[in-house]
Amino acid sequence: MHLVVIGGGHAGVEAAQIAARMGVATTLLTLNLDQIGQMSCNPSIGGVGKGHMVRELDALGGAMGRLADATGIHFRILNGSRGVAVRGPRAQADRVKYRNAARNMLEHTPNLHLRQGMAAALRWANGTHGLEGVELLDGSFIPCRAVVITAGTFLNGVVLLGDRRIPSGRAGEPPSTHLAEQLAALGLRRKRLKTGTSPRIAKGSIDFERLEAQPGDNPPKPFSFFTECIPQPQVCCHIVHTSAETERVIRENLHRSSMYGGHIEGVGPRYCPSIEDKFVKFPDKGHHQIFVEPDSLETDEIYLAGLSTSMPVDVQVQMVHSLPGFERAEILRPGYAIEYDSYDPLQLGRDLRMANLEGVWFAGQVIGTTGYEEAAGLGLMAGINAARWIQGREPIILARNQAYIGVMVDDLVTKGTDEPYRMLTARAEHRLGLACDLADSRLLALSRDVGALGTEALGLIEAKLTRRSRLREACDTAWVAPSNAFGALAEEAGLTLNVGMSLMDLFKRQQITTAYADRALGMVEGWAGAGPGWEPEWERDWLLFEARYSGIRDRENRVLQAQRAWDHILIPVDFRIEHLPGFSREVKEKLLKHRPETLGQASRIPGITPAAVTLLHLMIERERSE
Amino acid sequence: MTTQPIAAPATPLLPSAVSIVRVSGTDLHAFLEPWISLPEPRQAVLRWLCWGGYRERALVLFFPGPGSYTGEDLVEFQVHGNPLLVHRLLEHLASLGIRLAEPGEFTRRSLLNGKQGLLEAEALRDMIAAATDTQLREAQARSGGVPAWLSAARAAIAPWMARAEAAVDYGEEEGIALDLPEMLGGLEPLRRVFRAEQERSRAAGWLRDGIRIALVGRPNAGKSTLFNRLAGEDRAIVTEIPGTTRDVLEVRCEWAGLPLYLFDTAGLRETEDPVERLGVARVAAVLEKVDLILHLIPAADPGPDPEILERLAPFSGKVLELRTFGDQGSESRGGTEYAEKRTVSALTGDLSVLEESLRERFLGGQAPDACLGALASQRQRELLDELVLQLEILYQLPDNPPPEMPASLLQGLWALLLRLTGEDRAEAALDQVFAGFCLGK
Repeated sequence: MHLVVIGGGHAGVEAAQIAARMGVATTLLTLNLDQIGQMSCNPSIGGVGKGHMVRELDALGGAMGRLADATGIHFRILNGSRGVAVRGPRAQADRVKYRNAARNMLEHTPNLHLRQGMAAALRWANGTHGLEGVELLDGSFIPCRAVVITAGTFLNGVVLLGDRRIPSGRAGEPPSTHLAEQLAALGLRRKRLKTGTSPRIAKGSIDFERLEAQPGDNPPKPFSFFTECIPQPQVCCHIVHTSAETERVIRENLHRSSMYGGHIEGVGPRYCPSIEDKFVKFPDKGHHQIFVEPDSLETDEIYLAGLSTSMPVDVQVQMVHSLPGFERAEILRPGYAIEYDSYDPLQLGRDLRMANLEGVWFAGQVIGTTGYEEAAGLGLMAGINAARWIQGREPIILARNQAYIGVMVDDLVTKGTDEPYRMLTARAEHRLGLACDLADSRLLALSRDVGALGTEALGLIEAKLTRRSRLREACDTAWVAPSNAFGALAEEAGLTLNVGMSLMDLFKRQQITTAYADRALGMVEGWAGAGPGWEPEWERDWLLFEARYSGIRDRENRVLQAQRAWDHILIPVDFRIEHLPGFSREVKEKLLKHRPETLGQASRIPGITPAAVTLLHLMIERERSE
Repeated sequence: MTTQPIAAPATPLLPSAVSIVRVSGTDLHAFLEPWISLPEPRQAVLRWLCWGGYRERALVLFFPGPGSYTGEDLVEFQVHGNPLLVHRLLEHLASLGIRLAEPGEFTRRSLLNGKQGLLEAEALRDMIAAATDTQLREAQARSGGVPAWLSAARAAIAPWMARAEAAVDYGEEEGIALDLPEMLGGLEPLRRVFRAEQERSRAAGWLRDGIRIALVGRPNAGKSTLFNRLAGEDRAIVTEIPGTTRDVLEVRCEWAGLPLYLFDTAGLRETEDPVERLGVARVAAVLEKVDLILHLIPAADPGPDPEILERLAPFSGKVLELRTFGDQGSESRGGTEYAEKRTVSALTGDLSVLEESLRERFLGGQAPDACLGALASQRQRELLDELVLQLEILYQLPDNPPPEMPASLLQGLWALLLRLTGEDRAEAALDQVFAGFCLGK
């Protein structure tokens, strides 16, 4: 029983941590022990959609939420004052502390071993059957039954700065080329992707007086369902806008950027555009917002989020100096673009296992995502499923209506991706049912099955769930009549009651503001009193949301019903797509390439029309009846 | 990898002047060239077809894929209209590896190859099945594919969807908000179009599916006269339901531009005769399934037959009482509360009252031609109803709803529009977002 996780980034940390906690002896192999859990880009975790995934993986026993809480120095809930379903927690984490905390957490996880070294090749007993272990560049060999490859941007990575091409996995670190060669020789489909990062500035060289301050939430709300308090002192972030001079510098030097100078073949993320891209694609938007983020309490480094660039260093200096308040700013580390090998996720099963290679799972940026949270979510699922495979158990597949992580995995392995994939709530058709604050209760049964959370943590979730449903029942049955206290409150809110109604029905009325709702709830039995993880304000918002919008959510589910039914129709493994009559070559090729496991997946493949899905359905039914 | 080529007669297997056999498949050269040389694309050329002792001079046309009906290579053989000859030709094609097509397979391939949209394919299907002039014109009016108002609806929704999505995922950081009242104002014309199209599609549905009408009344109430007047000139098909000739007579016809199925019923009265009772049960089944019951009452009668009234009571919503022989009788008297009442004269030919009444009831008062081009099949009408509902929910949102509500409703609207035209959901929605806003760090 042994698992090797290749890579110590956010995917690798999750994969190794969860597998070890599930009882599988695990080795995390990394190029540099000091870089475990490194945040290569901006020191920020979470956001709308991304924050949802952090809470989901926390509910399943993942590490990121707890690490962010332990090292966060600025917390904000995005959409906090608005929707309940799309509230997204976000934090600035201390880059240095985060790294140390990640390493520390792994060092204290039973069954988990750390090892510095570069993976050179995987070794199988027979072709690609019977995985024996991982050969290291230092000549040693780690025997194992399964590997999770979370190589991030390191496989054939090249850093680009203007017309300079520097082979690197991350600025200042060597790329991994041996493993990349072996994987390519095995015939895996790969493509070049590109991403970028911003310059970092010496704190003392910035005139903060001229920047717009952006304080965090007070008190900060943690990511993890199991964090009781935020230990780090909290700091302020700042905002600055690009000037006309910035635009001039960029326009005049556009040809010198790697991107527009033609030095990049990889496809970059639309969701994380470089500053060059922003000016080129949105010529009418004169000013772009730049976030000035503290990197660490232990260093004087400042990160400029939103200024990702592939310009040569001398242009970067001019760009930075053009920002108001940055006239004398010193660049500590220049921004850069990086190009790397990524493996087509269509080659993976829904459990993230690579087809045709025994014992190999993939996760993270190496299969076409962007972002720490996306990487972590995939790492967690690959770790869980590799561990379960070793233990001879069925894989765990998150459904699209259960978790954003489930949406992401399904999107990647079904549709593939042409650019680095970023999570957006728009990707989840069941968005209204995927509130991140309910991830713990939504995933409770699965989490039990995973087995990484202790009984105490599971008990905490259960207690909250029980209390919430009891409270809901009380609101459904509490009667508002003109003669009672609820009725008096309703009247005070400006409502005339002709007939009685339940408290839940009263909550449907717009006149019942949060303040009135709080007073009404104060009269409901079981409302008062704190409990671990119990947030009265959130519970109140949730009840109001349920009262007012659950009808729309239910309709959304009904409209999606036909589609979801398809998700339950499995396409037999031995279904011979190439022999099906009636399908065009294009449709067959798509089906063969994407290898859908369910009819629902087939329906989401671009270019597969509903007509084709219906035909496929008929054929599956016919085969089944024969 | 290629699709297996298929062949099928495109004309009925009856003795006639010309019979057409069509062949479709990827790379037909490989299958046919060993036998005959294919003509230049899209040119009708005479070729001698020789096989197994047969010698047939045929007109051959070649449409290379993807510019053909099916999107694959397509070859058309026009041979003499002899069914046996067609059979032998198909047998020979089979020996070349070209199998007989399944029903609808040409259209299916065309659909799968994106040569036509779902709406076009549906119109084609209806066109082939059309039995009356109006039905034919109704199907033809839809054969152009996606109607302009649907394309316009997508164009109208896209920017709002983009803004709503950007407001959810980037709203707070980039200061993007959705102005709901402004959006609702902007979508108001669309809302009116949706409603109008919903009305039109209901009417078009009747034109496509036909209106089933039962004629009932006491003996000598004028049923046969009216029946013959309605079915008279344009009688398309007369089917006598097997074994029920004495009970129900069904006729499919077109009258006043309306495709009708007429059911002339007898034996509506209770009877002791067991054979007639069986008939009564069948009549009840007909009354159950028709869309309208015309209850004929001679104008001279003091009122409707109470027994018939009792039998019609369960169908009160769809009964139209007609005073017949209006030219002979006096003012109508009595009658019932539940039924619409009109007076017609089937004898003198003045049925304008009936026509007007049917138009009002089934076409919303419109002329049949006004409904042409509207969505008509049941699938289309159901989706259109969902669309109207989905948009209406958007208008019913309370003030300042959470941003995910309009965003999700708009995405639902978008998905319904795509489902209507049978397109992929894909990333279309997100493409809109990132084309419209500069987002991301």
